[in-house]
Amino acid sequence: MTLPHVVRSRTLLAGLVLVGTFTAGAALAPVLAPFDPYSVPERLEAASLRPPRAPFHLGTDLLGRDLLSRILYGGRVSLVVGVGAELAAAFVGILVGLVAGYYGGRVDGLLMRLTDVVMAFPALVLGIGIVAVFQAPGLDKVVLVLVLLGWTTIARVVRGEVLALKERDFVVAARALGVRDAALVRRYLLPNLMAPLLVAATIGVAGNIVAEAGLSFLGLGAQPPTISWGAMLAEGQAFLTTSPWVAVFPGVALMLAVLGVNLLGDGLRDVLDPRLRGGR
Amino acid sequence: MLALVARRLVVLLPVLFGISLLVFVLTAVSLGDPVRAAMGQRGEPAVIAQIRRDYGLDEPLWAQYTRWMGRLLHADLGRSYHQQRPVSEIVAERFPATFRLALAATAIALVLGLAAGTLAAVRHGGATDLLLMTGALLGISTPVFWLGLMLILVFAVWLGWFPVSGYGDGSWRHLVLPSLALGALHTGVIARMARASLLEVIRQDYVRAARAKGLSETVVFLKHALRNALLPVITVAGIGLADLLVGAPLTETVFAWPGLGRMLITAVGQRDLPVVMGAVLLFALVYVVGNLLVDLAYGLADPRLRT
Amino acid sequence: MKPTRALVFLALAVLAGLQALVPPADAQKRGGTYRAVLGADPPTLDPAQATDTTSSAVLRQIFDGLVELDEKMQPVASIAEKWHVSPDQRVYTFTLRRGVRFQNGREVKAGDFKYTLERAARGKKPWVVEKLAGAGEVIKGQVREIRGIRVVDDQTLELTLERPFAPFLMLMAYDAAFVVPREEAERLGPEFGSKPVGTGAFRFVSWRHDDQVVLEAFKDHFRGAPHLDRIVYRIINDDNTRFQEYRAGNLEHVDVPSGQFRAAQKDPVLSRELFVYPMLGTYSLRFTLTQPPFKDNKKLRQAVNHAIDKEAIANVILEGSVVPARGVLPPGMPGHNPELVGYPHDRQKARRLLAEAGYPDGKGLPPITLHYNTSALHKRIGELVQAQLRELGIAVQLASLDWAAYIKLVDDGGTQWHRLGWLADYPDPENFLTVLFHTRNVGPPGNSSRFSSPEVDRLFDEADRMPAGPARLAKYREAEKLIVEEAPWVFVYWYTSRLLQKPSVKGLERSAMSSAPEMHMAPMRKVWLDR
Repeated sequence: MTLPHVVRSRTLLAGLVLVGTFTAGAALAPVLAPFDPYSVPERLEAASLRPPRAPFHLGTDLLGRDLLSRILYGGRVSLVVGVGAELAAAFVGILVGLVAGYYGGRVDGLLMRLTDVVMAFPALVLGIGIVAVFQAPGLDKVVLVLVLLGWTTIARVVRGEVLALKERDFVVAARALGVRDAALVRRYLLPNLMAPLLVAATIGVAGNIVAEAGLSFLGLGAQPPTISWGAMLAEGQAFLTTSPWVAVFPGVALMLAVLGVNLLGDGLRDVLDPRLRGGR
Repeated sequence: MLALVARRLVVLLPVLFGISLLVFVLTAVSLGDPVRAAMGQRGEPAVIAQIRRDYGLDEPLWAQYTRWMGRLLHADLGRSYHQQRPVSEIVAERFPATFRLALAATAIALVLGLAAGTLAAVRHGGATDLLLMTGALLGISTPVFWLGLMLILVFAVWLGWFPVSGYGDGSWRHLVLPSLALGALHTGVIARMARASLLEVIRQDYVRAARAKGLSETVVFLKHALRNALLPVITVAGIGLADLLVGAPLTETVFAWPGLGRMLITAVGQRDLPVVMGAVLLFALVYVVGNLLVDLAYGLADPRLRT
Repeated sequence: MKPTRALVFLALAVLAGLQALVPPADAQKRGGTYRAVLGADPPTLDPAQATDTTSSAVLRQIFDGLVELDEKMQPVASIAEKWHVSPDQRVYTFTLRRGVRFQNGREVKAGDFKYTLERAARGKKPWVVEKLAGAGEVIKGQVREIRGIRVVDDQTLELTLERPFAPFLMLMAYDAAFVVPREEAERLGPEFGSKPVGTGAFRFVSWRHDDQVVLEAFKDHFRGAPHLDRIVYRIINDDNTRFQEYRAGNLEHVDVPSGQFRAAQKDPVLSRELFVYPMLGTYSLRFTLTQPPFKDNKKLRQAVNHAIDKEAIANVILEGSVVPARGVLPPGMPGHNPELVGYPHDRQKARRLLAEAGYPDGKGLPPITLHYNTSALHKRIGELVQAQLRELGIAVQLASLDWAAYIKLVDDGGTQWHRLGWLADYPDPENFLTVLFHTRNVGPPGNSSRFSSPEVDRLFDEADRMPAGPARLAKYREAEKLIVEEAPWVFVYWYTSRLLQKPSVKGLERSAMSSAPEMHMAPMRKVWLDR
C-alpha cells in the first residue's frame, strides 16, 4: 500500500486521522492531561460537578476530577482492551479457521459446531458468569470475555477464505508438487488472508470498545481507580439532566473513537479490495 | 431443500447439548448459591441447609445435570428455584415481549436501513451519501443503553410523544422507542451493506447489459440490482434477529420491558439455574433456527446457491 | 330590632348554617387507582418466604397480623383487639376481633395463627417465632408443632415465650407473622407466593413479572373498605426511568435518584413535592475482624475511621440528604445516643493512630481490598474512600460482585473489608445490636464483621431479657459505646428516604419504619387521592 493508495480513499484517511489522534492522545496522556485524573481535590463540594469552563475545559465529575484528563487516560483502557482483545481473538480465530478450512471434513464439522455453540451463547451470561467464577471483576475479565466470544467471527472469515483459496490453481499446483502443509499455509494462504483479516479485525476492535462500555455499564468492567470511557458513561448517566457534561463528553469520545476505527476498516476494505480480487 | 433442513436440525442437537453443558458448568462454578442469595442479610445456616436439600442442591453436580437432562428429554424444563413455578411457564410468559421487540427492531432496521442504503447508493459520492453513511456509522458506534436514555429524554420527557417505559397495554406506542434503540445498530449495518452491495451490482455486467437493452433506470434497479443485493442483507437480518433476541437485555433494562433478556440477567443474579438453562436454550434454538431460515431464504433467492 | 339589622342577623345565621353544611377542605375522597413503582420484581408475595423490602412493601397491603406499628412505631391493635401480658413477661394472651375475614370469605380463627406461626418457622425468617417456647425444635425440623402456642378458643390465642423479650409484640407486627389461610396455602403449595390470599385491605389481582403487580380494594376488610379502588405497582429497575415516569405524571410517588436531589430542591414544582424522612438504617463499611490487617488492630481501624470524611460522602455523593453516622443506632431508634461522638474526620489523628498501629504513613501495610455489591452508589462511595485513604498512604483496591457472589464471600469471611447497610426489621435496639454484634450471630446470621466481646455479649444477654424501659435501653447504650470504641465498622451514614410525592396524595403515613427504600411500608388503606 503506497501513499497514493492511502490518499485515494477519503474514508481511510479520515479513519487514520481519527484513530491517530486518539492513539496519540492516549499515549501522551501523562503529558497532555492538565490535571491528575485520579486524585480527589481537598474542598470537594466546591470542585464537584463544575460545568465546562477554564481551567476545567470539559468540566468535572462528581468527585471533582477534571473530565478532559480522565477522558485522555480512559482512552488508554479502551484502546488497549479493544486492540488487545482483538489480537488474542484473532490468534484463536485464525488457528481455528485455518484448521477447519484446510482439513475440512470431520474436523471442519466439529470446529464449526463449536463455533455455533459459542455464537449462540448469550454474552451477558458469560460476562456475569466469568466474574462470579473468578470472584472479582476487572479489565482482565472483560478481555477474557471479549476474546472468548470474539474469535468466532475471525474464524468464520478465515475459514471462508481458506475454502475459496484451496481450490485456486496455484494452491492445487503447490500441493500436487508436494509442498508441505505448514509451508503451504505460510507461503500461500496466510498472505492472502491478511486483507480480509485486517478488515474484520478493525471492525472487531470497534465492537470490543463498545462491548467494554456495556460491561462497565453493568459494573463488570474496570474497577476504580482505573478509568474507562464505559465506566464514565455509566457513572454520568445519573447526572444526564443536571450535569450532562459528565456523560456527554465521554460518550462523544467513545463514539468518535469507534467511528474512527470503523472508518479505518472501511477504508482498508476500499483500498485492499482490488488486491483481494486479483490475488497473487 | 429438505435435506438441508434435516441436516441442520440434526446439527442442532450437539449445539444445544454443548451450550447446556457450558452454562451449567459456568453457573455451577460461579460463586454464590440461589438459596443464600434469596435470604437477605440474615441467613440462618440451618434454614439454608434445609432449603438446599428441598431443591436438590446438595447433590453432586453431575447428578444434578443428569437429572436436568433427563427431564429435558421429557420436554420438562424443571421448576425455578426462586419462583417455584415451572420454567416453561415463566419462559412462555416472557418470550413474547422480547420477540415483539426484536421483530420490531428488525423491521425498523430493514426498512430504514434499506431505504438509507439505497438512497446513498443512488446518490453515491455526494453529500447525501456522506451524511447517510456517517449516520449509519454513528448507529453502529453508539452503545444501546446510551441511545435508549437519550431517546427517553428527548421523545418521552421533553416532547412527550411516547411513553417513557414499560409494556403498557401492549400498544405499539410503547414499542417505538425501545425498538428504535435496539434496532439502531442493525439499521447502520444494513444501510452500509445495502449500499455496498448495490454499488457492486451496479457495476456488474448484467446490469449494464440490461441497460443496453433500453429498460428504464428504475426498472433496471428494481429487477436486478435490488434482488441480488438483497442476499447479504437477508443474511444480516436473519442473524440480526437472533442477535437481537440475545442482546435485548440492556434495552429491556433501560425501558423496563418485561422480556426474556431482563429475566435472564435476573436469573443469573439469583443463580436460578433452571431458569438460566431454559432461557439460554431458547435463545440458542432461536439462533440456530434463524440461521437455518436465512440459509433457506438464500437458497430461494438464488438458485445457484442451493446445495 | 330594626328590620335591616334583623335581616343582617338572619343573613349571617343562614351563612353560618351553610358553612356547617360545606364539608371541610380535606374530607377523604373515595376511589382512584394509585400508581406506585417498585425497583425490582418482588421475589415472592408469601409472608413466610419474603426476605426483602420490595416483597414486604406489597404483601403488607395484602395481609394483616395480630398487631401493627402505628406512626409512632408502637404496636397497636390489628386483628387482635386486645392483649394481656403475664407478670413474668412470658405469656401473651391475645383476644381476636370477631368477623375478620380472609379474602376468600372465611372468618379468621385463633387456630389460623397457630398454623401461620408454625409455617413461618419453616420459612425464611424463622427468627420471628424463635422466641416462642419450643420454636427451636420446629425450626430445626425435629417437631411439627410449637409448644408455646396454645389455641384457647376461636377468639383467644396464648403465646408463651422461652424467656421474656421486650420487643415481642413488634415481632408479631412483622411480615412473617401475618395470618395466612391454611386451605389456600396447602392448595397452592409453593405457588402461594404468586397468588397470595390474606386479610388485608387490598386483595391480589394479577402479577406480570417484571411488569406490574395489581391489587384491588377488599371491601370486607375488618376496618372497612379502603379509600383507594386499586393499587398498581409498576416494576422498573432503572432509577432514572422511574424518575422520568414520575415527571411524565405516570406515578403518584417515586424515590429520588442520586444526582437529582439538589436539582429537585431547586426546581419550583418538584421542591414542593420533595420530602426527606429519616429511616432506621445504617450504612457501614465493616472490617472482617478475623482477617489481617484489621484483625487485632484497633488503632488501625480507628485510624481509617478518622481518615474518612463522612461529611463529604453525605454532602457530595448523597447531596446533603443523609446524616453522617456517629454510631450504630440511627436517630429515631429507641436507645439512640445523641451524645456519641464517633469518629469525625481528622487527618492528623488518623496519621498518628496509623503510626501507632505499626504502619507509619502506610508503610508495611499489606494490600487492602474493599468489597461491595455492584451498585453505582457503593462504587462512588468506594472511590471517594479510596482517594481519601490514598492521602494517608493506605492503598485500597475496590472489587464489586453481584449480590449472590458477594454475600457468599462475606459469609465465608473471605473479605477484609466489606460494605453492608442494615435496615431495622422492628424499632428496637436488639434488632440492631444483638443481631449484628453478638458472638452467637457471627457469620451468616448477621454479625458479618465477626465481632466478639464477652463483655458486650453479657450486656446483650441481660438487656434482651429485661422488660421494656429506660434501664434496658441504658444497657444497650453501654454496649454501643463499647462497640463504637472498638471500631469494628466505619460508621458512614444514617439512611433517609428521599421521596417525591404528588400533591393529590393524602394520608401517606411516614414513620422511620414505614419510609423504607421502596417507600411503601406505609399502610395504603389510609391513603386517598384528592383528585
